[in-house]
Amino acid sequence: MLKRFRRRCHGPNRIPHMPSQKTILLMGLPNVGKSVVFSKLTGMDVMVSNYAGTTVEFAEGKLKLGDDQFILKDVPGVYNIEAARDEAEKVAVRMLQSKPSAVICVLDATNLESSLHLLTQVLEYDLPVLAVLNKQDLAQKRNTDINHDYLQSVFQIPITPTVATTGEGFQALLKKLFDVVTAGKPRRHIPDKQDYDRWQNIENIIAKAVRMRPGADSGQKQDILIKPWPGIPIAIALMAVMFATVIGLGMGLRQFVLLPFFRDLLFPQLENLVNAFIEQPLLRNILIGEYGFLIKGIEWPFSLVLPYVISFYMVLSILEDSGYLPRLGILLDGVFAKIGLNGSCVIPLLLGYGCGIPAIMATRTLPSRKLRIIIAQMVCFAVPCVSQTGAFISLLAERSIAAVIGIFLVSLAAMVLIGLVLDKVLKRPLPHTLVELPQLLWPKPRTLFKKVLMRVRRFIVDGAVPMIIAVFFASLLYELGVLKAAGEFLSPVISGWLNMPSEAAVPLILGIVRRELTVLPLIDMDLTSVQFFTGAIVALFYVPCIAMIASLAKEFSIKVAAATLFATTFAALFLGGIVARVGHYLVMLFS
Amino acid sequence: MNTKLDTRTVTQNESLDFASYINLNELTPGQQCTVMKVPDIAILPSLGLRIGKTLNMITRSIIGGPIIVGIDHRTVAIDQNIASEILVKRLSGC
Repeated sequence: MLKRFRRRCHGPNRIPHMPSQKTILLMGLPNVGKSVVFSKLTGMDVMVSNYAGTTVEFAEGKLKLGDDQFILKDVPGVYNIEAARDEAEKVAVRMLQSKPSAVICVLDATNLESSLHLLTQVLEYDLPVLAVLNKQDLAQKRNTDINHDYLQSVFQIPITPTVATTGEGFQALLKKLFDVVTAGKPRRHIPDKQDYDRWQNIENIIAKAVRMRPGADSGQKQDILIKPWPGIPIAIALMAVMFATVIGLGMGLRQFVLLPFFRDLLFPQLENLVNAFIEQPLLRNILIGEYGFLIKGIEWPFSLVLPYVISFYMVLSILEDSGYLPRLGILLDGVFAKIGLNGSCVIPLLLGYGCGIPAIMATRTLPSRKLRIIIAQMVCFAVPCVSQTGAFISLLAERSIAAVIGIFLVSLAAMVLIGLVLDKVLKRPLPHTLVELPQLLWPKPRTLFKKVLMRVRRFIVDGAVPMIIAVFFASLLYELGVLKAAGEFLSPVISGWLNMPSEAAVPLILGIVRRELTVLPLIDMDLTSVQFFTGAIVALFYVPCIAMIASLAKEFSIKVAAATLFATTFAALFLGGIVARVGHYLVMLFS
Repeated sequence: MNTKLDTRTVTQNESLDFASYINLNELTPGQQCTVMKVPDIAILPSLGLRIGKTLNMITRSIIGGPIIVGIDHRTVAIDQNIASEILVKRLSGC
């Protein structure tokens, strides 16, 4: 068998076996609820959603069984171990080959046959295995009974039924897991010769294990969301409502909660405090001056960006947990094919409107490298992250809402162009769409709240903190006159080409660190409408933040990262200059 | 793509009369069928697309998008190119 051979050979794919670190793997089909089981077992919060491929990089957590400490790994979902299709699935197979102490195989009670097929494949690795029969509640709702005692006797492994989302059955699971791990080596499993025989076996087993009670529904539910009519009008309406909610809720939070708190309560106090205690003018200016880091360092991340982080992730989390996103992908599949994408690209793209880094990570579930590169480039060039969106709204919305919509239209046009160009350049064929749609579920408020909280926390750690540090250095360099000197040095580009005042060099320098910092410093500048829009266009296409360039290097190569850095800078300045000229001409024409 | 026919399921009573089979693209929404031949793509069986399974055609998408079928309780979207290689037999009464 190829697989057995591969286990012995030392290829680059092989993870070295470390005997000191005892691991337990959590495996199963995509979207079976592994991450929920993981959270329940380790007490750690991990991102869970209602679509295949939420977990692209395995999460690790500690699990204590008796006196032993184990590392539990939440492995990305996989349909078929012998045919791992994408990066995320290949990770799963590699982990299985790394000789873990045990495997917990999570079975889907509502999709038993594919679950058992995967289980038989896992059993061929001769590891101690325990199975968990999850989504029991959904199976019960369909009036389907599964005789897990029978399944235990057939597979000769312990099987426990659970409802991961409520925590039902976890006591029994921990006890059995302890038994499995302490028992060590399993009875040797005799693999089926052919995949065909495997399926035959499973169908026979299921015929004996599954009993339909009277009233069991066996057919399909009507799913109007995936039919072109009325699915497409519903999708358009839904997206419009979502967009309006993100903007409206964010602006409301900012206007009525955060801004009054910071501007009227906190900042006057801070200024009084600094004025009272600090005499030295340079130090005082660094703290509360032009780029005063106590003022801008708090106002920018927390009153201008945070409201949109909250509103965006609330909306996104609802979409994720309902199972709607894969349906949206299917509706868009045909249109996406015209620009070199397929429907599954919807999820990484939407994540990109939150933050580019999880978006680039999520491309791992895409079935080809070409798709991964196209999506990563779209996200780097033309998809503003939520921080930058918040900054755009702060900059433009008070002047004209049309300008905000204009920026998003330019962004959309750029994405189409990037898709068309890269589709021609990277000549590989588009992989076929082949995807299972998750059941539609009502999102649970508690889960939603936890998820939004987790993402807000991540924004504060990974977004706000670097922003505060950047503002601190900016205020230091500003007060020392370094930014002014840099502005003069860059003035041929800034003033000569972009028609902006030389102080506009500041956002270009800060913007390398964080995406929204290409926008925020412009807010307090005295600019014309054309200059504001030019600044926004430059900001949109300019270098995505340094952390995104780093993740491009990690996920693809240094070459891709360097090329993106160069291309985004060039595109931003080039297009900015054109907007400045066209804008200037239009103003002349109409005044 | 290797689309070798899996003849093991064809019983002796049934002739190898593929002319009476149609491909998945030719079904109209609402029709049911039995799968007779599946291309050799490793993930298809795991999605429930195996010989002998009953499918329910739900809808086709616009602009060359995928065909959407129901198998047991699952909903699966299949690219039209793959669908054209899946041969099915209409269930009587459809």
